[in-house]
Amino acid sequence: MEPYAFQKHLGLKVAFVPLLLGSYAPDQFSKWFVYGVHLGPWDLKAPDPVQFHRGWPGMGFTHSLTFGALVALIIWGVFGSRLWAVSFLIGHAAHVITDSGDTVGTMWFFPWTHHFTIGAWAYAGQTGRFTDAAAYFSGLGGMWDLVWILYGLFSWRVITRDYFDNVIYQADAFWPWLNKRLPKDALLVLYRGAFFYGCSQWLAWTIWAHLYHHYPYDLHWGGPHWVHAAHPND
Amino acid sequence: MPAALHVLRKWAPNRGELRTFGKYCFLGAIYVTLGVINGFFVVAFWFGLAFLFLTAWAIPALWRRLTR
Repeated sequence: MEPYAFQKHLGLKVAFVPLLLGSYAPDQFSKWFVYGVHLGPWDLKAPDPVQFHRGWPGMGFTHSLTFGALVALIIWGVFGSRLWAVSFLIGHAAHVITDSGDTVGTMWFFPWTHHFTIGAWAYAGQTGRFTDAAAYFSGLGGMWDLVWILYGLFSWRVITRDYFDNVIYQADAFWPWLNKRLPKDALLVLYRGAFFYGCSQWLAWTIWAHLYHHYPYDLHWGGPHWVHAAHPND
Repeated sequence: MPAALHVLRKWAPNRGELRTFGKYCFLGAIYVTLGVINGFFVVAFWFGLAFLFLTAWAIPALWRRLTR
């Protein structure tokens, strides 16, 4: 939901698509291996999920501000778009800083491997996809997401057709390019996709964890304490 | 008070906007139900985007074309 908030405040100075891609980028190539997948007879899973996801050696460098800056420079150099580079950088930084809220934190200034963490909610990626989700949506992490959802709903005009036509579409040549292949109604639906997904997944996991499986809420700092919270030096 | 009312009136959605919101809420209810039944529906943003693209645009557009 953060990209909609940034878009609301920065208007034509940012482009929505790279903002969104930046905010999803750190987990795109690593999260599946953290939780593990079954591929036929093979079980693929990181031997040390916490180290792999957030540490070094591992893919933890993807959760650093320096990695975001490097990718932004590459975008600028290859595609020649300062707008896309800056937007990607902002979206990526939002993810990196948000993940500093958990007990493992992120290496902001990789290759310096110090983890910046405030430990507000438990990191439980090592427990698997479902327990991790149950823990996240039982602690302050889920509440932090709720803050963004409520802010997004309060700022609902950012997902209207008028806003899309006058700001989103105008700010980024990507949308006119896509408009040659798809009608504007379809573009509007795509633009609203992350808002829809952000609200729906929060609601689905909350219902799944608390109404269906009865995991207890624990909004204490560093909670929920019914799950083993990983730390950088574990 | 009138100033606050004015701000609220400017902020509040009109009937058409509420209708659009209702449509997305309906689709959201289906997606949330699928997600609660099987968590894999809600683990990836791309699933959500594909679901919305199909149900909010592609299928209605196809239906309109077939019934025109």
